[in-house]
Amino acid sequence: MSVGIGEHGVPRLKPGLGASLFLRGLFIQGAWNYRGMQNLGMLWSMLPVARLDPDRRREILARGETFYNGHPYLCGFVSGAGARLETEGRGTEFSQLKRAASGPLGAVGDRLFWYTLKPASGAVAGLGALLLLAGLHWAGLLMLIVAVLGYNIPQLRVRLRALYSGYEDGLEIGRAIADLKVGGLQKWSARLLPPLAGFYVTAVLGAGLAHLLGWLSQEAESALSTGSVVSPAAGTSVLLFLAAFAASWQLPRRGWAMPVLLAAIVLISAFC
Amino acid sequence: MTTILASLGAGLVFLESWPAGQFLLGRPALLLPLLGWLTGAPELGLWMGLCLDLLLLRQLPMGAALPPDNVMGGVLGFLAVRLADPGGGTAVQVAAGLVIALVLCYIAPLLTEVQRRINGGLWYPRFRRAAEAGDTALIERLFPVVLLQTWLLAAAVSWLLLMVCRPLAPKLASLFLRFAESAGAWSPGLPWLLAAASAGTLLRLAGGRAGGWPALGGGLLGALVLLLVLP
Repeated sequence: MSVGIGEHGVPRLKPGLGASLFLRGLFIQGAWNYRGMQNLGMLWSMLPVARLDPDRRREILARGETFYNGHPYLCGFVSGAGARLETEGRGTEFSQLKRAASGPLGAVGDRLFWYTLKPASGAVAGLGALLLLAGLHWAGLLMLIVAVLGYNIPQLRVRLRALYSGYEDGLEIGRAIADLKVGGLQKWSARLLPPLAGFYVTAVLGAGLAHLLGWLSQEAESALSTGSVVSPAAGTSVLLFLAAFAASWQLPRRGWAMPVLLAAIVLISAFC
Repeated sequence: MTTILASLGAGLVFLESWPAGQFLLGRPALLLPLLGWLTGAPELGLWMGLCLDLLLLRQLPMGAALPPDNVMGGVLGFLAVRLADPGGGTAVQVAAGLVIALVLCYIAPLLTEVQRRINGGLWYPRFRRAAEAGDTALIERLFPVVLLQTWLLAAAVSWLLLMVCRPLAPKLASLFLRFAESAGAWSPGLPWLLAAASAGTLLRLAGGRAGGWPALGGGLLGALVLLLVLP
């Protein structure tokens, strides 16, 4: 077997097997289906473990193929625990673990990544795009790089730690999640989001209004010079600008599909 | 040929966005500025990327849910406008591109749905048989084939959508151009309208978090930067 024993009697995952499980975990959703969800990705992940024990290969593969659907970044918990349990001949417990861990891992991962880190890095990327539009190329580029690294370094680190925690803690999934120490990451991402949102809103609203007011003053000047009235589109444009902001901020609470609303605003403005 | 290459590229973006990796490299705020820069339309890429990423930030792929796909919608909307090259200025192109992209954001999840059903109907029984037979070599071979099939299906669907959307881009652009002519010089404000909407989405998302004071602090910093940047 490709495991050694650590100082405190805890088996260690060999680097070759660890690397293989980690890389295969990147494709956990590769064959997602409604029958077993991420089960085929998990089956493919468990191949290196199945190859270690030719006598029990069929059993290991059969267990690998049963239903599984957790957060894709945290699948290492299950494949790591699976590697340990299967090598210890505790395959039945692995099947139970797969079923039991799906929900908690999904909940932890969704909250950490989809609700927190993804929006925070999106806000940073958005700021980068704004800076590029403002002509601050280096600052904008730097923000885009920060957005990529700020998302991917933590998620790759969590994937790796999940694999090793799963392997070391086995069935104790609660301890394994605690071992990840993701509380700090979640806290800081959550703290980062409101100031970023405030910054972005001010920058967009300020720059957008400055743009519209600049155009309005040009309109007024030309109206004064020609003796005509300012186009009604002037008032409409400022109102639409503020309405789009207010609608996107408040209407989602009432279940409105934001992009549909926005497309309607754009189309109405095109016909008015 | 350009459309085919663009479709193959879009297929790769689809592959990265869901079945392989999920590094979020294809997210609109990152990919569209890069595509814009590569294809000589940096402002189009920046505006579209900025708005699409933030507008759909609240749509999350949790469990088996299929939220609007701003990755495929964004890349195909951008490519449709670039391939059609409708002219009329950046603002008109951004508006046309965003309307196409937003519609595609709601169509693209069907591709994911179809692929999931193919995985269940076509591939799942083969994997199951291989697992029952203890055939690790077959499973090893099958998995990359599934990924290849996913890529090719995504590329084929992208090609189809591009062929449909490409002629739409000039029509939409001329519609917005007509509006611009009737409304004076307002049309350059269109991207700001969309950016304002995405700002609202972001604020909504941050609203339930750590409270108003950090947002206010960020807002004041934003105002300070604006004062320094604006002429």
